[in-house]
Amino acid sequence: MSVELFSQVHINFLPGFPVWVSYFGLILLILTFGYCLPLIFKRVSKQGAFRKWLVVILNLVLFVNVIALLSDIQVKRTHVSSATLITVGADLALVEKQLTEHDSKLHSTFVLANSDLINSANESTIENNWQVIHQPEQLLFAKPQLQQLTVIGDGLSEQQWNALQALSQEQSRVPLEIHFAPSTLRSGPIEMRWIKRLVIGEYQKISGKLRIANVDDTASLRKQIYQVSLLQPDGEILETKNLRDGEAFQFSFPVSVRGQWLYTLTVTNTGTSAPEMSENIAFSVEQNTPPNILIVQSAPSFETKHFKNWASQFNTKLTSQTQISQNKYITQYLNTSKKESEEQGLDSLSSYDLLLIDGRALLGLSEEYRNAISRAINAGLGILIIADQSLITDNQNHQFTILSNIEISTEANDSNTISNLLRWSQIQTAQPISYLNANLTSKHPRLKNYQALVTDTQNKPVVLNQNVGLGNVAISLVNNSYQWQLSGEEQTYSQYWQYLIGQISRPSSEVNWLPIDEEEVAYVNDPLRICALGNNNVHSAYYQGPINSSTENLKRTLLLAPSSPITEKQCSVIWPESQGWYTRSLNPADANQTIVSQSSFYVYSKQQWSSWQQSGKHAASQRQVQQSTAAIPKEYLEYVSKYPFWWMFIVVVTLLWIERKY
Amino acid sequence: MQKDGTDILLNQLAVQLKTAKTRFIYHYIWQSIPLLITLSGLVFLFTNNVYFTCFTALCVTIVRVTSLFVLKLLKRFNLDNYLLYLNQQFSELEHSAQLLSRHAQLNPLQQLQKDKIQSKLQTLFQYKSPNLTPMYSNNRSILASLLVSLIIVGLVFVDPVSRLSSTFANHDDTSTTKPDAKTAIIWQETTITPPSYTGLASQTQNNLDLATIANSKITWQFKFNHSAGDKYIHISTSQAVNTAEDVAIDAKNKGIKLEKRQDGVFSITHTFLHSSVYYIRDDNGLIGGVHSVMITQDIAPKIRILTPKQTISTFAKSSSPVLEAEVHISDDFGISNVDILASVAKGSGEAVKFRDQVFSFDEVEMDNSSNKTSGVHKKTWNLIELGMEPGDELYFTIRAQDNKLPINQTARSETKIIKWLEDEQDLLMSEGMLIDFIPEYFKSQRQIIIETQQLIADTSFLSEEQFTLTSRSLGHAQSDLKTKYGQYLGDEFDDGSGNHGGDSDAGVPEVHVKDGDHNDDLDKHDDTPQRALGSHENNQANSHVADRASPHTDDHHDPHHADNDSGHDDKSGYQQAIETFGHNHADTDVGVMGTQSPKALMKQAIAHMWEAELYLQLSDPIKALPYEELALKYLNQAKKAERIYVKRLGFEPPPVTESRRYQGDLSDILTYEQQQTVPKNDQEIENIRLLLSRLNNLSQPVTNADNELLESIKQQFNREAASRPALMVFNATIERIQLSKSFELADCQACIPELQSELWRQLPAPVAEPNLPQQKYRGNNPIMQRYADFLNQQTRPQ
Repeated sequence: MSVELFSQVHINFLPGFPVWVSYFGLILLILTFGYCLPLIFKRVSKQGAFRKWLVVILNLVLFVNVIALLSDIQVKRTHVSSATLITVGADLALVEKQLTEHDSKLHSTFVLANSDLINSANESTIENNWQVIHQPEQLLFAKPQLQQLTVIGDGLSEQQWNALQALSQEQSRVPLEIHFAPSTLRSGPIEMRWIKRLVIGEYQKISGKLRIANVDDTASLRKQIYQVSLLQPDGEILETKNLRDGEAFQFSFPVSVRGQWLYTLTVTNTGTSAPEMSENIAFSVEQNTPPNILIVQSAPSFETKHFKNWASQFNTKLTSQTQISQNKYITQYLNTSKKESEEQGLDSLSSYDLLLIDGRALLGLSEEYRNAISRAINAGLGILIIADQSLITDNQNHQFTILSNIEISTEANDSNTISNLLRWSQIQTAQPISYLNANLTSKHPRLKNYQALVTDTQNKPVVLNQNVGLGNVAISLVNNSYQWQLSGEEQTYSQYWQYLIGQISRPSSEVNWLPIDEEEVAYVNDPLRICALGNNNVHSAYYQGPINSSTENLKRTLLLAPSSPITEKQCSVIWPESQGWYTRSLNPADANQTIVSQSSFYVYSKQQWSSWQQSGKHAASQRQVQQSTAAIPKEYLEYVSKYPFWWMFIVVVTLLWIERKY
Repeated sequence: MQKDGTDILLNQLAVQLKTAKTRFIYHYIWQSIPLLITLSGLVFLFTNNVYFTCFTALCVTIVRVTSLFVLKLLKRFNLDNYLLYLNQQFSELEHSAQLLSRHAQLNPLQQLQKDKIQSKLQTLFQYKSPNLTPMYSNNRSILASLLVSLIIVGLVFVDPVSRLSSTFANHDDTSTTKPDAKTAIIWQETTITPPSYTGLASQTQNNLDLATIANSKITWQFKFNHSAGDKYIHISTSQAVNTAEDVAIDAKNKGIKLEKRQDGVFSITHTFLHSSVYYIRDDNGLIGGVHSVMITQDIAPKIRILTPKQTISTFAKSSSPVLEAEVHISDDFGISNVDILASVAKGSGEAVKFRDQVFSFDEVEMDNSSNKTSGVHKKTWNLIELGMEPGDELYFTIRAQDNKLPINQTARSETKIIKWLEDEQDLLMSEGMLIDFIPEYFKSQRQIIIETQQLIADTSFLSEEQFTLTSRSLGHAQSDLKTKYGQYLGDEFDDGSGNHGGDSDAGVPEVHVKDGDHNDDLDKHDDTPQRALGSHENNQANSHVADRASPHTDDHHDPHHADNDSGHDDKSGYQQAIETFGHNHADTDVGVMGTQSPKALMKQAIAHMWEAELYLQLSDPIKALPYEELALKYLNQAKKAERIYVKRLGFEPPPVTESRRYQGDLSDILTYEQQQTVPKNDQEIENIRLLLSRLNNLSQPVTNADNELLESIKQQFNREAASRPALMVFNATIERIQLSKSFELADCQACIPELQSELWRQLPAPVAEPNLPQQKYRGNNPIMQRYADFLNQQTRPQ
């Protein structure tokens, strides 16, 4: 039986009993009191008024106490279910300041297991009522109706916030109100990017920004110069830059050795000359995937000769068809065979990744062959046309569907060739080279499906690439890049062609692991999503590591699941337990075959890149704060404790006994 | 009475029994001896330890004695058994001897028999018949003992010296070392005796990593904690030389055996011609570590002709043909002979006649008269005294020999030419005659850069003196090269230091040049200043340069004076600061190739050579290296400029139309196919890459493939060690890895990182590999194909 008083107090007499029992009990109690009251009056009638009223009041209070003791009394309250999450970087002072703002009775405090408070030597920093969790989502299991969350310290990463919000939506369907008390900024490099997987000769580009923790004197901070150095694995300094707080930096260098490498980025205060910060930059240099190239030329040339010499030494399959007479050809197979290369038919183009052809040879192709090339380009083939005067002056090019999107033109009275320095992908040659003096433009500039792969110092395209279907059509005005080779600039020459092949060729169709994104790194005990681009031939996958540890040879199975909508991309999530280099392998379905693809990745400890982590987490947490809405307080009934009523009962009964006695 | 007789007989029997027991014991002992000798001998052979042998013998003895009682062998010797024995031995006892031991009441028949036997037995005792007690033959035991003893002794004395010495050594060894403890060197001394001709004194040191001159004799002396057994020195070198006094190499190729002296010291002497690594070992393996011997080769003498500077010196017909030649000759150890090979050419055309003659210098000023290692040699050439006339030419070259033994080394300088001109004519340009002969020491700019890089890399391994000497020799080489290139420019520029005055354009080195000849009196100067392009104020600069040109007119023959004038007035470092932070040579925009003057580029190259030479002479190769590289860059550009200039003038034929192509006779032209598999070249670079990659994973043990790789790297370093002895240190590291079969070297933590550093240094700029791009989707994905079709429609021509 329940009664509501003033819409705030809820009284439930004899809870747990049937309603009729409650009614009967109450009536019995009232009748008893009603019967006893006159008798009380009668007993004390001869006493003084004070004593009379005292006895009456005491009995009344006793009656109320008995009812209270036999009832559940609840009071209506409104509050917001809140919690505090202490993350990495939170110090005790900051935590105490935040917690004083909350009612400790209604508020829960959670600590992430890797936070500094847990790891500190002083055990008394952890209060008894704080709960230690390993993942942020765990606090929702402890407090399912959480409405307000205060995060102290570095905050959570974007990934962690997404997981937390998703779980919160699933459970309470109410968005969380987020408050964030950021930790003190830490100095170090932030917003880092670098390529995690390269081949020999590729340029590694490491970029970032320097952040120095705010000191009292902001003016002197702006004047202070820091030296950011990149060190090779053997400790030699590769490059050094002088920077101030907030300035960006970029290091670029070609990688030269296969393997897993740890370069070191150090930040030194030029005033003290002692390294203040040092972080590892990990990337692997792996075996190249050599292309299968078809060369069709109308006459022998030094350009293709040097190209073949360079490409063939790295296991590139080259098929070269050179016209030496009207109907006579020389066909060369380098690192391949005629049988392997298939007959020179229309269907064989699907087996090639790149077609290298000069203008005259292109114009001399039959209609059938041209159509076959067009189909192959739509299916993914890349074609690089070495322009010559024939291509520029011939009137047929506009009818050739391949060339219908690119326009080649010359200015009157211009010389046939010019000489200039060339640029591509942040590389500029030191030695100028001569090339055809012509203009390359796209006929559909609004589509934005063309790129100037190589330009000169006036930003004029020298190699223009157009995306056609799944393939690429590129025209190059350079027909004597071998000049670099002959001048001893072998590195420039090889980088030029490596770049062009990488931009134009058909992408590799081999089963392979996808590299980790440039701006991401993997941390210990953080979920890491690793994906492979497979096909039906992949049977299983596993990973091992870290290298040089006791678990180096332990194979742990990876369960790859298709990632829609690109179903051939299969991913798995792992939680690496230790820092170091790991190896992941794909096994083919056929047990007799060797491992299909092997790739390495590096896992950092949580203590590394602390400023970068903090920067990312601060930004993600601030975004969450901006996007969150205020929580609506909820009503709830709070039980009132019966201890006061019990003590009151004891006191009243005692007083009544004393009164009766005396 | 009878009873007394029986008692007496029983006593006698007891005595005999005791005798039998004693005999048995002796027999038992004799039986034990062969076993004792066998076991003890085997123990001694295997352990070589007397105490252990004695202990074994004692154990065997105890076991045998114990078995005597355990098996109750002596209990068999009792009266009953003895009487039974007598029954068997003596038939006259009628198998009744046991009646004597029966004390119970006998029946009359037994008593009668007893009496009868008693008397017979007494008779036997009286006459001391044989066989009263059992006889045990010990012959076999004695024979066996002798045989076993002979065998054991024979085995022991197969190698008596080592066995006895090791036995007594074990006696003398008061330490608690166990028999299988590792051998270690407790004392070492190395004496290096350089060749006598060097004049260097012998030196003694304790360090086993050595650096000395080729042909030095090195004597090692060692003391080991275990001197038993042979000790060897294993020397690894690609050009190992065993001199006549080397001890024969052990059949198992352990190395050269060390000689042991009476005082327990092991020694060996070896002569080294090339850098090597070596280690000491015994039969159990390596003792200590792997050490290196860095051998510096004796360098041939260096000849620098101070005057005349030009290759060709000319005298006018009317002038006095006297030339003072001054030559600086230096050698690392001493010069034995210097002479001048001269040829006088008389006549011209087909009638020219050559007269060869050998001259000596008129005056010699040695820098250090006692060592005769360097000095200035002077010679006055008077063409008239040589019998020459106007129109004749004199060619001379300096030849110097050092004092190296057994065969000295000879060096020759470049050839200088003195021309006595016939007619009154303009002095010819120095380009008028090319000299093909380039002395063997004449280094190219690229070679200078390579050697400078090597010198920088070897800084920590070279002594200060060696470092300075090498740096200065590179400076001299740079100077010679600069002079050679300067000759082609007329050698008339004076400000070779690249002095950047405040008025010059930032980023543009200013070089004051005069084209044309040396003669300042002739009006054929080209005063157009040769400036690097990139300057947008050429006109202003021209006037400025012209003004500045005149003060330098008189100085162009004295580049050293110019050197002093330019660029070194900056004592406060202000200029250097400008150059470091505000004036970057590397960013100089030299402009488009086709519009540059090759001469300007050459002059810039020479300007940088000046700076490089300066820092090399100051023993600062790190600062010199950037200038050397810039000089090479401009030299290459100058060469290219020449080519392009020539190309422009070339004839460009009109393009061939398709209809006119391939119109010739086509009958002999064949269509053919060829197939080729291209192997990878640059295996040495690939090996370095493989080893670097392998050194990433030190925990894996060394496999056979790793061993082959290490061996190839070692051979590579051996080949380079002739010019860089410091590489032997890394060969020692590789040797350690191979011997320990592990990449983790506990006794040398810094060795692997140093090897990695050297391998990184050796890597050239990488040649990029062709690589297919990676995508995150497949082309046959239906969504991608639909997207491709959509793109196709957009780009289809209208």
